[in-house]
Amino acid sequence: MVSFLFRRFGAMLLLLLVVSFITFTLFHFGPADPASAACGQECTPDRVEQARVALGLDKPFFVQYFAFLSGLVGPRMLGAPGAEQMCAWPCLGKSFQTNENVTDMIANALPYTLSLAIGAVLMWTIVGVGFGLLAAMRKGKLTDRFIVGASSIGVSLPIPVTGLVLLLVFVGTLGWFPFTTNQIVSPFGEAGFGAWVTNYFLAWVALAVLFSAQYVRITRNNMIETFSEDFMRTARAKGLSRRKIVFKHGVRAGITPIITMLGLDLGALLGGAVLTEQIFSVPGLGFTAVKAATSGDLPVTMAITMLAAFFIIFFNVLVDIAYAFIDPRVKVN
Amino acid sequence: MNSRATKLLSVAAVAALALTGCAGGSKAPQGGQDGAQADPYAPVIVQSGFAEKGGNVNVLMSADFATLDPGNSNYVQTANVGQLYYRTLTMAKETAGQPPKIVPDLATDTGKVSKDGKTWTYTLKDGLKFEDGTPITSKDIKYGVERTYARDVYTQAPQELNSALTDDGYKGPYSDDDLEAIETPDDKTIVFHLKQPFAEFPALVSRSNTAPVPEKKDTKLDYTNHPVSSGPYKVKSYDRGRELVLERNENWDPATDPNRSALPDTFTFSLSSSQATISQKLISDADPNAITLDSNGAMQASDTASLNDAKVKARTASGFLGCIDVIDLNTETIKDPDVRKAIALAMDREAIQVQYGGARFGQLVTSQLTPQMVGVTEQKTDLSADGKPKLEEAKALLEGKDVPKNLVYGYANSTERYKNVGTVLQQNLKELGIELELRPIPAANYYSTLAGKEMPDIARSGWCGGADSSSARMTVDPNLGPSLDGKTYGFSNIPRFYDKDLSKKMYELRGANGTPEELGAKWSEIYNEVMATYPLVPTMHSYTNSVVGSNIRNAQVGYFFGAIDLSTVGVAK
Amino acid sequence: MTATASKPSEQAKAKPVATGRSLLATAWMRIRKSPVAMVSLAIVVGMVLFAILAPVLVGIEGQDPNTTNTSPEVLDNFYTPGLPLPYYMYPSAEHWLGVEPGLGRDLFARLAYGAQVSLIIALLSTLVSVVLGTVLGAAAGYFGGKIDMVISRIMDLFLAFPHLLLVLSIAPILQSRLSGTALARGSFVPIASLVIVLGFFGWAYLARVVRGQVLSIREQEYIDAAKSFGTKNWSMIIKQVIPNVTGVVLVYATMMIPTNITAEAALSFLGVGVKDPTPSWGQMLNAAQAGNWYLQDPWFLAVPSIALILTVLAFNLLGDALRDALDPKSSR
Repeated sequence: MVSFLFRRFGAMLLLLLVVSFITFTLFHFGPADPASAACGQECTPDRVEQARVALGLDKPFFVQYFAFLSGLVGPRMLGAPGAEQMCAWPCLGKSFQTNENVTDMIANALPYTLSLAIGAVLMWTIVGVGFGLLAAMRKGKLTDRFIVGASSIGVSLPIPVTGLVLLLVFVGTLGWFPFTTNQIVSPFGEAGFGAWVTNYFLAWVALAVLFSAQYVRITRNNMIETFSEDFMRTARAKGLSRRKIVFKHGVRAGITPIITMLGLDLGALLGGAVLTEQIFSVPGLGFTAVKAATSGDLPVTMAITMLAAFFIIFFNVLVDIAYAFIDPRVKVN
Repeated sequence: MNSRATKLLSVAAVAALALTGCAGGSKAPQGGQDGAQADPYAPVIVQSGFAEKGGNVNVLMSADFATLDPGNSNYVQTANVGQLYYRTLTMAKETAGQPPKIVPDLATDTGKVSKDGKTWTYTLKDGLKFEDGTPITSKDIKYGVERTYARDVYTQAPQELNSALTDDGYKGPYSDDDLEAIETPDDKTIVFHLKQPFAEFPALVSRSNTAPVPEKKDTKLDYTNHPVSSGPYKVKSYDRGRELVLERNENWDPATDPNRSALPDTFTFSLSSSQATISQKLISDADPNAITLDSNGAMQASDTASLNDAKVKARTASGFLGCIDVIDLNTETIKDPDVRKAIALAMDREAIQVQYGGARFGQLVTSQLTPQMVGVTEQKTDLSADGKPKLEEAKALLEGKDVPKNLVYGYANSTERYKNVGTVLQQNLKELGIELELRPIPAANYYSTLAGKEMPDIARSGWCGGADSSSARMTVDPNLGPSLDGKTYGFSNIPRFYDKDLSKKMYELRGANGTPEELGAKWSEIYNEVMATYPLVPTMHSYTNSVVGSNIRNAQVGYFFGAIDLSTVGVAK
Repeated sequence: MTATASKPSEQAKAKPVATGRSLLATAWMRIRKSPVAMVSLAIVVGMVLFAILAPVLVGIEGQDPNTTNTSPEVLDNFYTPGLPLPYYMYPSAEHWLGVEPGLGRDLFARLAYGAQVSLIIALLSTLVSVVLGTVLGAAAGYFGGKIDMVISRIMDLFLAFPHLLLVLSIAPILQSRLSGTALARGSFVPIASLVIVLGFFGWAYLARVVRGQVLSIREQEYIDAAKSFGTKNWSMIIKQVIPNVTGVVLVYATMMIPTNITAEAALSFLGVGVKDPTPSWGQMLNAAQAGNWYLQDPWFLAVPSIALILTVLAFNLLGDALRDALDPKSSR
C-alpha cells in the first residue's frame, strides 16, 4: 500500500513538472509582450526595456524557468536591481499587471471557486444520483423515460445559455435573486449561511443542470448493470426486501464509477469553472485566469493552469486510492 | 516642456474611459414639453448643497485600482481616490462641466516664480500632519518627487513634472543621492529649479509626484498597500482585488483644507463586481449608498432606456469630461491627404455615435479643440456637423488616385463598442472600394501597439486633457506635434503626422511667450492647418452619465476624472 | 464547464462491440426503427442543409449578414422606456428573425452563416481528433511495449491538462501567429485556430478507448493469420485493425461533435474564439451578452440559443441511438 502511494505521488510530481514546463514554454512564446503590457499605456521603448529588466524578462528562457521553479522550493527575490523584494515560499511570482503576489491572488480567489464547487457538487450529486436511482428502479416505466428524456436535454444545454437564461429570468425579470456579489466568500462569514446560498445558488444551478444530467445517466446505467449481477440475484433469492437490496448491496457496488467521476469532476472544477465564474462574475480562479490570459499576465496564468493541473492529477490519485477502499472487488497489488 | 511628458495623466484617463462598452440611446432629453430648449450637455449635479457629515459611501468598481501609490500612478481613478488620502502642493479642483481649476493645497498659494521664470517657490501651510501625527515637511514632499525618478521600480511613475526640472540624470533615492533640482531650505519651504520658463508649472505640482511620502515608511512597491495618509481619510483595510475601506484620518485638520468637504465617515470600495452588476444595482437603487468610479458610470449598452426613466434621471449625475475620441489615420501608410480626406468624409460619424450609446454619451465634434479651451479660434472643416457621410464628395476625391484596396483597423479587445465602430467603418469604406480588416489588440498593450511598428492603418484613440483640459496646446502638441528634437513625429502622435513646415512651427511655438489667450489662438490656427490634411477624424466629446444611489448627495461628474468626484460627495442617513 | 469543453462526457462509458460492415447495416436497421433517432437525424441533416444553403436562403430573404443598419431612427426605439420593442426587432417579412440591437444587422442571415462557421469548426476539429485518436490509439494498442508506453504517457499528459484554461490561452496565441499573413483576411484565422486547438486537445480520450479495443483485437486469430502472411505492420493497422474499431470511433465521433459545438460556443462566448464580424453561434451569444443586451431583449439571446441546443441535442440523441444500435447488450 505504501509503495503504491509513493509510486502514484511520484508520478504525480513528475507529471506536474512536465505540465509546468509545457505551460511555461507556451506562454513564454505567446503573442503579448508582457513587458509592454506591464508598462501600461504610456510606454516609450526605453520604459519597456526598464519594465523588462524589472520583471526579469531580459534573462534567458531557462534561467527564467529555473527561477520560477526555485520559488516552489523556497523563497526567492523579485524585482528590479536595487529594489528587490522577498517573495516568501511558495512563490509563484508577482503579477505583471498589479504587482500583487500571485500566491496571495490565488489564496484570494480560491474560496470563491470552492464556494462554487462545493455547492454545485452537492447539488448535482443529490439530484443526479437520486434521479438516476429512481430511473433505474423504475426501468422502462414512464418515470424512467421522463428522467432519461430530461437528462438528454440537460446534457445538451451549454453553460452560457443556461447561465444567461437563469440571470435573465431570476435576476432580471423576477428579481428573486440578487446579482452575485464578491463580498460573500464563505458560509460562515458575517452575512450568514442564507446569504451565501442565495449568492451562489444560480451559479450552482447552472453547473448542476449539466452535470446532474450526466450523473443521472451514469447512475442509471450502473445500477441497471449491478441489478443484473449475480450477487444481486442471490440477495433477491434470499428474500431480502427490495429497498434493502437496492441500498445495501446495489448502491454500494454501483457507486464506484460514480465516485470516480465525482473525483475527476471535482478536480476539474477546483481549477476554476471558467464559464460559470465569468457569467456570474464570481472572482474565483477561472475568472482570474481569463483576465490574466487576455492581458498577458504570465505568472498568474501559469500559476492557475498549474494549480488546475495539480487538482486534476491529485484527484485522479485520490480516486485510485478510494477505489481500493470502496470496492471490495479491487485489490491493491 | 516636452510632448511626451504632457501626456501621462491624459492617456491614463482615456484608458480608464476605454473600459466600458457602450452602445445605446441617442434620444437626448426632450425639452419640448416645457418649451425651454435646455442644453442637453449642461452638467447635472445630484442633490447639491448638502453639508452633513457621517455615513458610508459604497463605491462599486469592476476592477481593483492599478495602484494607490501616488508615486507610481498615472491612472485617473487613483487621482480621484487619491484626493481622499494624499494632498499635493496644488490641486486640480473639479467643477462639473468645466476644466479643473488649479488651487493651493498643501502650499499657501499656487507658487511664486522668479523673474527669469526658472525658479518656483512654495511655502507649506501650518498644522499639516501625516496620519500618525508627525508633521509634514518639505523634505517629505521632496522625497515623494525623488521616488518618481526611480522608474525602474515604479514603471507607472508620472514624469511630466520631472522632465521640467533641471536634474535629468537623477535615478531616484534608492540608487542615487540627492535630487539637486529641488531645494528645501527649511521645513516649510520647497524650491524647484526648471530647465526653461513654464507658465503652467502650478498645474505640474498638482500631480501626484508632490504627495508627501515619509522616507521611513517607504515600503517601495508595497507602499500601494498602505500609503501614508496626508488627506482626510486613511486606509483602514485593503484586501487586494476585493475591498478597500477608508476611514477618517483624525490628524487631518479641515482648517488647512478648504477643497475637500470630507462628509462621509467611511468609504468602502468593492473592487470586482462586473460592470453589468454595477449598472443594474445603481439603476435599481439596490444599494442607496452606492456610486461607481467606472468610466461611463458602468453603463451598459442596453441601459440607455433606463436613463430616461424620471426616477433614474433624478439620480444621474452627468457632465462632459475632457476627452475627445478620434479615428486616427496612419499617415505613413495612407500617405495621400486626399485619400485620407475621402476616408474621413465617407465615415458615418452619426452611426459611430450610436455605437457609443448615442447623443446621451457624447457630442459629435469636428475638432479636438473645445469651447472650454482658452483662446480657441474658429475651426474650419469639411466634415459634416451632423455626422452624416459625404459619399459623393469622397468618391470624387478618389478619382484617378491610387487607392489602397485593403486597410486594417485595430481596436482594444476589451471593448465591444470599439469593435462595433470598426464594423461601421468597414461598411463605410466598402463604398469606396476599400476592404477593412478588423484586428483586435490586447487592451493592456493597446496604446503601446499604436506607438510601435504594428500601428494599423486606422485606429481609434481618445485624448483627455486631464488637469490641463483648458489648454489648446496640451491637446494639439501631444497629438500632432513633433518629437523632443523636432525632427520627427512625437511619441503620442498616433497618426504619425509630420510636416516640415507645420511641425517646425509647433516646435517653435513650444518655447514662445504670451498670454494664454494669444498662445491658445496660435495653437488653434496651426491645428486648423494640420487638420486640412486629415491625419485624424474627431468623432465625439465624451459625456458621462453616472447613476448614484438615492442617499447620495453632491454627486458631480469630474471633467478630469470622468466619474463622481470623491472629494465633494456626501451621503444622507 | 470544464467538463463539456474538454472531458469526453460519460457517454464514453459505452461499450460498443466493434465489428465490420454487416453490423453497421444492422445498426442502421435498428436506428430506422427508433422515432427519436430518426427525428434527431432529420434535425442534424436539416441543420447541415441550413448551413450549406445559407447563401441561398439569405438571398431569398434579401439580406446580408454584415450590412449594418445604424440609423438613429431605427435604433432610437430601443431606448424609449416603457414602450415595447419596435416591431422590426421581431420576425417580419423583411427581417425573418429581426435585427441585432446596436448594429442592426439581420439576425437570420447571421444565424445561417453562423451555422456554417459553428458546424465547420465542430466537424473539422472532430475529424482532427478522430484521426489522431484512432491512429495513435491503434498504434499504442497494436505495437505495445515502448511505443505503447510513450503514447500512453502523452495521453495521460493531455488528460491532465486543464483544457479550457489552456485553450483559452492558446487560441489567442495561435490567432496572432497566423494573422499578419495573407490568411488573415476574412474568417480563416479564427476558424483554423479553433479547429487546431479543439482537435488537438480532444484526441486523448478516444485514443485510450481505441487502444483498449485494439488490445483485445490483437489477440484474435485472424490478426495472427495476417501476420503469418507477412503483412506489414502499418498496412495491418489500416486494413485489419482500424476497420474493426469503426463502430467505437463512429459512436465517439458522433458524441464529440456536440462537445465541439459547445466548446466553440464557449470560447467565442468568452471572446477568444470566432470574433465579430464573422458570425458563429458562440459569437452571437457573446453579442447578446455584451452590454447586457439579453436583459433588455431576450429574443437576441433566444435565436442562437435555440439553434445551439437543438443541434447539440440532436447530435447527442443520435449518438445514443448509434451506440445502442451497435451494442446489442445495452438494450434500453
